[in-house]
Amino acid sequence: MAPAKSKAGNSKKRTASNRAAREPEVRFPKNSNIEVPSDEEVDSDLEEDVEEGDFDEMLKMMAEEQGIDSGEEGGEVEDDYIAGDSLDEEDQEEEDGDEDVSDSDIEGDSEDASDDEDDDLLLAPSASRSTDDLATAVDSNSEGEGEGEGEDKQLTIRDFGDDLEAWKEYRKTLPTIEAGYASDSSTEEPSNTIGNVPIEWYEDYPHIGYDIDGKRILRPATSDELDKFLENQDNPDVFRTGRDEVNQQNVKLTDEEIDIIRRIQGGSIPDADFNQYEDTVEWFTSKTMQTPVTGAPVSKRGFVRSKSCRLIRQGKITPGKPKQEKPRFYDVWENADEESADAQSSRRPLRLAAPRLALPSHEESYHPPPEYLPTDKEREAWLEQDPDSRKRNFLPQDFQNLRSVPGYQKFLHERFQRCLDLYMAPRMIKKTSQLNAEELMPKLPDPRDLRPFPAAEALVYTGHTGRVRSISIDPTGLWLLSGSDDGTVRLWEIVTGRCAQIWDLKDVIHTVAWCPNPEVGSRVVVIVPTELCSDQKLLVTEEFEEEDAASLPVSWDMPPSSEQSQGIYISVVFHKAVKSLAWHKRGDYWATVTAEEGGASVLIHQMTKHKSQRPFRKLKGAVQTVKFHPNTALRYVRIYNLMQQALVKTLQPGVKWISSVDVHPQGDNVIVGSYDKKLAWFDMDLSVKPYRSIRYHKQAIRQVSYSRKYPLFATASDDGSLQVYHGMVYQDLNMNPLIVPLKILRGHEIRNSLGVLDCLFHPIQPWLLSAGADGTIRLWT
Amino acid sequence: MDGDAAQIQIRLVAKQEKYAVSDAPMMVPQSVQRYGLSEIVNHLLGNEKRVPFDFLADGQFLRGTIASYLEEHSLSAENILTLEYVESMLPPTEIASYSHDDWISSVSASSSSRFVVGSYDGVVRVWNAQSECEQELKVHDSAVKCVQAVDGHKVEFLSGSQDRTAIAWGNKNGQKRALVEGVVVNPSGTHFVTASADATIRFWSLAVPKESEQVGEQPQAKKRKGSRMGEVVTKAAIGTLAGHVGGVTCVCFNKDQESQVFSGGWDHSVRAWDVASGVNLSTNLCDKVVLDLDYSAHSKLVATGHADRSLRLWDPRSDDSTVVKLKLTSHKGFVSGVAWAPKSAYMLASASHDGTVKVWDIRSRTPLYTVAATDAKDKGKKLLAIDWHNELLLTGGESGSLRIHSVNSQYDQE
Repeated sequence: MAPAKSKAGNSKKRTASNRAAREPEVRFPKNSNIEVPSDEEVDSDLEEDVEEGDFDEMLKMMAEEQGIDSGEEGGEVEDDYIAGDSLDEEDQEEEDGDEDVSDSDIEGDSEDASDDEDDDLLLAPSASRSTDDLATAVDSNSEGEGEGEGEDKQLTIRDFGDDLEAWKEYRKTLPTIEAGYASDSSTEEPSNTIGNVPIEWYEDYPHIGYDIDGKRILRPATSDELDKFLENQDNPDVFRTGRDEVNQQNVKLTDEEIDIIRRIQGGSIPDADFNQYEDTVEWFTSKTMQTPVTGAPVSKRGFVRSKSCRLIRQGKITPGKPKQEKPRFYDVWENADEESADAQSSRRPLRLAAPRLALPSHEESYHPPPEYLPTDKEREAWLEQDPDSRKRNFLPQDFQNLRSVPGYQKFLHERFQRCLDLYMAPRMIKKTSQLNAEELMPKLPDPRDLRPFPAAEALVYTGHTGRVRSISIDPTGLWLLSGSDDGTVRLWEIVTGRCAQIWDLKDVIHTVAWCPNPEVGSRVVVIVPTELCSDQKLLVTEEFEEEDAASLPVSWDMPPSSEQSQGIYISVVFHKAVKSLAWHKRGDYWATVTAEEGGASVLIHQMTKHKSQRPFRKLKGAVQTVKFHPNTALRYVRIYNLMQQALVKTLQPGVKWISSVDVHPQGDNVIVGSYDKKLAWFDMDLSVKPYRSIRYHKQAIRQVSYSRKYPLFATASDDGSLQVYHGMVYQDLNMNPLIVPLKILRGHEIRNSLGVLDCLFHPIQPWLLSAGADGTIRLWT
Repeated sequence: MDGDAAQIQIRLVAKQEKYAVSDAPMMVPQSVQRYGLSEIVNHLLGNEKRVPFDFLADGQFLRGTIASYLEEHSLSAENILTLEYVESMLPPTEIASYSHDDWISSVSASSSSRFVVGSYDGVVRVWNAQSECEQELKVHDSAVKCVQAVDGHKVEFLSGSQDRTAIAWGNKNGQKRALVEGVVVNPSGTHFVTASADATIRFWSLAVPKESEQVGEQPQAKKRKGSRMGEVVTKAAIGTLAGHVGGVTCVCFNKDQESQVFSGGWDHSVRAWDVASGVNLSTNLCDKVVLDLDYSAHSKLVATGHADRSLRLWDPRSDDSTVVKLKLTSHKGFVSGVAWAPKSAYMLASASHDGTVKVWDIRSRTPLYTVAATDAKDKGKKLLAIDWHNELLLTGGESGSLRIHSVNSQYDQE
């Protein structure tokens, strides 16, 4: 409790003493301040001060001012502080003002000092100010040095002695006081920051805790029980006063607070302004629904336009439109043209804008640059040209000025022509298709996945001097037979290209065919039609007895002995040239086609019996080629005049000139090559029309051939190329055959507009053999 | 050496002792090629006369620079690269050329100075090193397709022909049947096999029979031959190996196991047979016609020539699907003949329809040498036969000239 009062006492003494003694006195309260809590003497000293009543007087005065009981120490401290503040302002005035310091001034000053000391201890922000007022530099206070340990920490206090001037000089160096800060903090409660701990823990200490800056809050002075009792007797507000233990202050409740307490005690709502019995406002009941069910904004859809708005939109009302007066008389034909035009436009095609005339160029200028002017030669050439074939219908002319340009003579004529153009020339909108070319391409597998297939020339069999018309391979695949226009039939070893044997028959060989049955032995059939069409021969390298074929245009002869020594065993003489020859698979029957109209052209011959038959009594047109079906004994004959008659089926290839036919080894598919460059693939189960018609060759297709072992077929053409296709026929009848073009093989030379005349697949290898008009046979692997 | 060029440490090793150098690593520029390395080795050896060397990195010939090799195999230049070097093979030099009237179908050398040539005119000719035709044997009716010399036996050589006979020539001649495509003799010279276009391989004894054996299935042929060649004794085959689907084009004995025979044919298969039991030991397919085949006792590999212009190397000992060890493609025509070097495990030669002979080292994918005919007459003509006997490489073909090349034998290792 002591410090404030002791200081007050000290200041009292100091007022009595002269000014020179001021500074040592200033030092004293500091020292006492520090020593008080532990020193009993100070207590007695304090009591002396109290007896002087000086302090009490002052408190009372302040209490009167503030309306607070001066006996209460908490209030006292606060008042002290406020008083100190106001004094401080006085002090400032005094400093700035006159030099002569009156007694009251000094009194104020001393008070100020004492208050400041209090401030110093209670509130840190005012610490420096107190030192200012005391004209002493007390560093330790501002740094919050603990007074309890203050003995060993010597406060640095400059002693200015009587040197007032020096003190004043020193004062100027001190920082100025922020009045605003002090006034702000005047409303603050001195807050103890010790938290929720029992205040009894601080009983033995001079302080009761720490403020926000960590400075000690010294225990305020407490009056003894007697004083308290007397005060309570005098104080009418004692009933509303409580004790703040943490801050060691008395707190007086306000009327409002007491009212709240009373209400709480009475069990009513503490807030005096709250009306418990207000009328209910019905927001959302079955009757009223002032709040929406959902918080979503109202949709635009729910917004219904007004009727007039609708009418405006529909164009029935035009706002702001002047009212039209109805005419008294009507023009009946007023809209006749428009109506008729409307009615016609729906029937008429879309109107097309007339094509624009080209913009005039330099040549059409009246004064063109000299390079545009025609020379004399050009002028003559232009004049000699036919008017229709002229590039332009005028000659550029040069005039020095526009004035000298004569009237254009042909103006009317040209305008008339233009009108004629517009009137006569039909114009139409060109429709461009949006189809992409790549989309139209069928998805085909990569040819590289379809190997093996013949892709490169491996061997050339040279020796024939005329064009090689026909080739045939023996069933084992070792030997190749070729017939040529030079009248020779040659036998080749396929793998080496060695010509093993030559038969010179001195006649054009149209076709050769090797008997397909390997069990029979090596049998070769060569048809040699002569120019006289009389002694065609059939040559067989096996021995057979001879029989006559009656009533047929064929005679079976034993060849003369000279030919027998060459390996010719039998000859069959036809009356007409033999164009085509086909062996049946078993090797006993073979069929021929002769250049003869009617049913006699196709003959079937049986080797073992030396007999010939005529299967077709009537045939329309001439037969070009004949093939045996591999499995059944059916023949499919194509007639070159588009009609094709057969025992079972007639195929309509849609081509004009059939050149060749081949039957797929499995028998259900047929390819037909034609002189009009088309290749037709027939699926016989599917249709009599081609399943696929391919036209890749630039010239007539001479020969088509299936591979017996691989899913391949090839075409030979007069354009000197062979085309190899992948033609996969699936066992599954639901799947269509897959046809993929694989390779174009070029190598044969074109002679007399004839290219490749025959092509044939090797029976066991994916090799292709081709015979050309250039007298070579080529092997492609 | 260029200072800023990238360098690499190499270690040089040689299997040939006479060329061995210190195996201490040395720094060489990465841009050095075979010639530069060869110069280095010659310098290390102190050779007065430069010996050309070839260099092998990891069993493959070094072609191009070391840098390109490192890049190709994505190797680091930090490590030491071990290069084995072997003496380079010198290019084959043509020694002689013997002209024939007709195409040569087969050649075989019985010794370094005695060459048997089968020709399409049906004549078997025997030439000596002095370019003299010692014998002209006209017994076959049709083209002779194959000849095979027999070492150290009283039967000197065999010939097979399209007239379906094989004739063993010697002091006494014997003949066999079939449209013979190939004939080979086993190393001990007691038996031979013939390959035929009728998809069979027949196994015969070379022992000369006392009298003609009845060949039951072919009385006609026997009668015909017998009437013409009274002194020729006819033999019957000991066994027939049937299994090929197409014609058999080539047959070859396994020189390590006398009873094993390899064959290839039109059915794209390379088959191994046990002739004693007549069992087809293995069948390997390759999708391409096999035109010729040869077995090397050194590398234990079978080399085949194919109609797809390539050579294939087969390892008959492996059973899995990767029997094709290597595929060599460089020819531009059918590979009609292959021949292993008699003393090397790496060298082989091939003859092709494109008219060239190529000498291969199987450690390199590209041929070592390509020998094309120089004469205008022979140029571009198909080669049909090849034989490698010691240092001589014999080829013949469409041009009708038997060409003999010398190959340096120093290259042969082991």
